[in-house]
Amino acid sequence: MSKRRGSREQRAVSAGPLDVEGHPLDTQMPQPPMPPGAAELADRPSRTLWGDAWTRLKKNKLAIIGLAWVIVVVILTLSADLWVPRYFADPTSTEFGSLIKPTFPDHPFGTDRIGRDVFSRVVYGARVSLAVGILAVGISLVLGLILGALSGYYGGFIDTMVMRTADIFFAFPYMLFTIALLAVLGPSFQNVFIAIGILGWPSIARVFRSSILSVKENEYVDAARAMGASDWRIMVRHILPNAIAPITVYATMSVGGAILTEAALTFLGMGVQPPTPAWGAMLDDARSLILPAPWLTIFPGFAILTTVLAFVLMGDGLRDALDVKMKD
Amino acid sequence: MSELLRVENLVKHFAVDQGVVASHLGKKVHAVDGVSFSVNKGETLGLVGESGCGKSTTGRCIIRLLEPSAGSITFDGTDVRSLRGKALQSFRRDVQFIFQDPYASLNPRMTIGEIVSEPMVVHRIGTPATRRTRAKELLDVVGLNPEHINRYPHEFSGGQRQRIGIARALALNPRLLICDEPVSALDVSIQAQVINLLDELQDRFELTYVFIAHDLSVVRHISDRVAVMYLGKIVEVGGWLGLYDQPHHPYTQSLLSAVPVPDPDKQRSRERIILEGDVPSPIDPPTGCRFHTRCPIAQDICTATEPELREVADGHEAACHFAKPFPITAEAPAAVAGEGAVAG
Repeated sequence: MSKRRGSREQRAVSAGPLDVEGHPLDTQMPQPPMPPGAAELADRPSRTLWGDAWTRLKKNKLAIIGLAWVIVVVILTLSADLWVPRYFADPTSTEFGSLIKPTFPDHPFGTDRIGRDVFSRVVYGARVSLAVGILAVGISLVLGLILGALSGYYGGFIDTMVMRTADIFFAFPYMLFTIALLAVLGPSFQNVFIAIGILGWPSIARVFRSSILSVKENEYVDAARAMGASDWRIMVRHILPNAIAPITVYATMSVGGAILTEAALTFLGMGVQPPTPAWGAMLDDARSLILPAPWLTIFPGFAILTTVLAFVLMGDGLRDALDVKMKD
Repeated sequence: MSELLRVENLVKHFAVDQGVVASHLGKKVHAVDGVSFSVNKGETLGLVGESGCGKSTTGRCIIRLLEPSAGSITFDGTDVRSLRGKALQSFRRDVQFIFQDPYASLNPRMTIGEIVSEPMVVHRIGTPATRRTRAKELLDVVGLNPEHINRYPHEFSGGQRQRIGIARALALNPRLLICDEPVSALDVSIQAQVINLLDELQDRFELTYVFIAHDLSVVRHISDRVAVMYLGKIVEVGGWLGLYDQPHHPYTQSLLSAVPVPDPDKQRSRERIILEGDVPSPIDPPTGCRFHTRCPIAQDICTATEPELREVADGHEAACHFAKPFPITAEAPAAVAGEGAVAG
């Protein structure tokens, strides 16, 4: 029997697959075959996944429009002190000579009922909106990521606690909860983003938890565990970088949502207080003048619309760009 | 040859129902149910069986990725199940695992340099510079271009990725490698390359392998001894020569007769044992011999009494009341790989 087989070394040559006549295939190729164009591949710089995502994002026109609009708004807002008061007007100064007038070019967006420059107020209003949007999402992210990570990674009792608490948060009508919280804290700029931020964590925690649950089933997590890596290392080096993509998308869209919530709260008088320029407050102020002086509502309304839309488009583009399955 | 790994009566049950009470009292999946084997230094033990028979679970219990429900695992004289802290870390240096899916076992956010040197980082070996040198060396050892150290896994093919996984497993100079179906996710043409690489590395680094697979021809090639599993138990274990030429257990016989023969005439004329029915559920395994529901030679005793593994030939054990040699002749399936050896 055994004469049919060779020694170990001979067996090594005849490994695995055999063709029809029993001759081994592929034994002359110790190196895996190079893919076509491998020679050029060797020279080009390596592509990271985020680099790939950026390449795909660039192809998405809507996402780029959104991104561009966000950048424009950020630049206008940050530089407002340098040019708005000098060329137009201070957002809080009143001019009793021109009440409720669409005066161009001195006041490109007209003036409101106590003679304040609408353009100036729209530009400065963006400060409040962007600041609230980013700070609120920042708070939600800190809370949501920590709780979501604990919940998804450790599971069991911690998971149950965190997720049932999240359920309780979800059970309340969002807007009413925010208003109630602001009624307790008192309406002010800080309290608006704190309230929105605190109420935003359950969604982030849920998204992050589910993302971690799917990532931690990957064999590379087992591989890290088998080599003796610590929980911290597995979390930070292996799970987090692979679970963060959906959070990036969700957080970007949430900024838009937070801006909208801030505008609504301010519109209801629960948010940023006058005379600070805020888009929601401007709409509230102009409610009774919507027909005789439409510019008072159109411009702040348009500002809210475009800014929120810009963040949503960006988030949407990011989702497509980060989705590996849609690769080219 | 001295013994490196001994597994005795390994049991792993998974609770079907969740919850504090239900998980203890409720139904259990008997994934591994009393598996014993030993592996000597420098040898390769092949662990074969169909999907769901518990072979991967056994592998994962050995490296403590899963905690066994019962039984003992001894590695080089130390009891693996009781290891904690530093002792566990040093055990993890000595025993490495090669995963089945080369697409899922490499972190897509790390360069292959980082992947291969991670075990050294975890065990605080060397400086960043020496780790990098070692990583390049390892890539060279497994037949990859060391220049590609800054590439990401998605820039490689399946076979290349499996080589990266092997390089990572070798980084700490382990003594025992558990290969969990390392080639079953690869194209057939690439399988031979990876198997040959593993074979070559074994000689070069004096490695010991536990080689888990469901492909009999792959196992036959690399193994010194083969253990056949069915529903969480080992039904037959023996040297590759005896087990392939004279399988004693009817399950092994039917597995071997299912291997296709690359000759249509022989394929048509040979005697095949075709099993009836499906593998019974591991939640409620059959009484007595677990194979009796599908066994062509089952008798009354098989339903009542569970057969123990008993020696049927030198170094060859089978767990069957009616174990008898089933000589595989030249026309029979096991001869396939042998013909290849002659031709090569």
